[in-house]
Amino acid sequence: MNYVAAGWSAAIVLIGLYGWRTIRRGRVLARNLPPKDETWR
Amino acid sequence: MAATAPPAQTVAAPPGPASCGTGDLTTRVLGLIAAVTGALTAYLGLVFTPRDAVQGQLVRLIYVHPAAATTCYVGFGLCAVASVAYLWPRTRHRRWDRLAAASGEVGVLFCIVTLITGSIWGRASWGVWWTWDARLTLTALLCAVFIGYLAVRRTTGDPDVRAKRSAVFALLCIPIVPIDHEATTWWTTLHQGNTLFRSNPSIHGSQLVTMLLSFVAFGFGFAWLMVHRYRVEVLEDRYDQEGFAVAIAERRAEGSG
Repeated sequence: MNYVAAGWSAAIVLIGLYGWRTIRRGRVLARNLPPKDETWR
Repeated sequence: MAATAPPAQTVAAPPGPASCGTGDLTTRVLGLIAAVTGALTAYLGLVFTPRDAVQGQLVRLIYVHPAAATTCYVGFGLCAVASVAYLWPRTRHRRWDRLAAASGEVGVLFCIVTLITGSIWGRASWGVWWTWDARLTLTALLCAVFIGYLAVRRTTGDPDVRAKRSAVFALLCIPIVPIDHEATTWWTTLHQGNTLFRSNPSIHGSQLVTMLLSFVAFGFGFAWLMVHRYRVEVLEDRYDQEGFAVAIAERRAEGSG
């Protein structure tokens, strides 16, 4: 069961970290740009 | 490039609703569906479904590893389609290059997840973390060449030349995907054959339902990451075009203040 836990944890942590990093990257970029009505805002 | 330069007096936006980054209702809905289907997959996969007669508890990795592998193929496939659309003169638009960049990077993420979960599964069932089996080797090669693709994307110079070069590189790499997928059919490998994509699937009942649900969860997770990553590309393009002007405006504002 340790291997199962390791596999599931690795997947969740990697995807979560990448998602967090991507969202943070977007926030930093948006903060450093003039306000503009992007299509998704 | 479609964006126009900002007025000279423009300064960076203060933190607040206008600088909320890449999120909106679409990403929140996609993220929520991915989280709910992912949590349900985890409950069914780790608690509800029975252990396997041959693999025992290890079968529970089947609710992560194949879905990650399929999602990585989808990412690289999307990267290739977007690359063709960019190279084709009639459809050439910056949005295709952004889509290729986003899908290539997210594809690499899922490829790494596939390699790590596969390695853990291999250690438990074969006794080794890694073996130079056809499927494993091709998946590692796929990951390496798409990391190379991301490196090509980071080269400096004319963005149009870089986009064309990256698109050609992606199209040279993409044939590895079908070869990797068929590796267990074409060669004798340690890796087990296809579980789902055959006339008589070797998985049934709650295990089959949970495995299909894992594909749905990873699919929504992929879509959620893709939307965020694509929007980061849009913002990076804007930053490349406007960032210098903004920095100058800020210095002027500091100097006059």
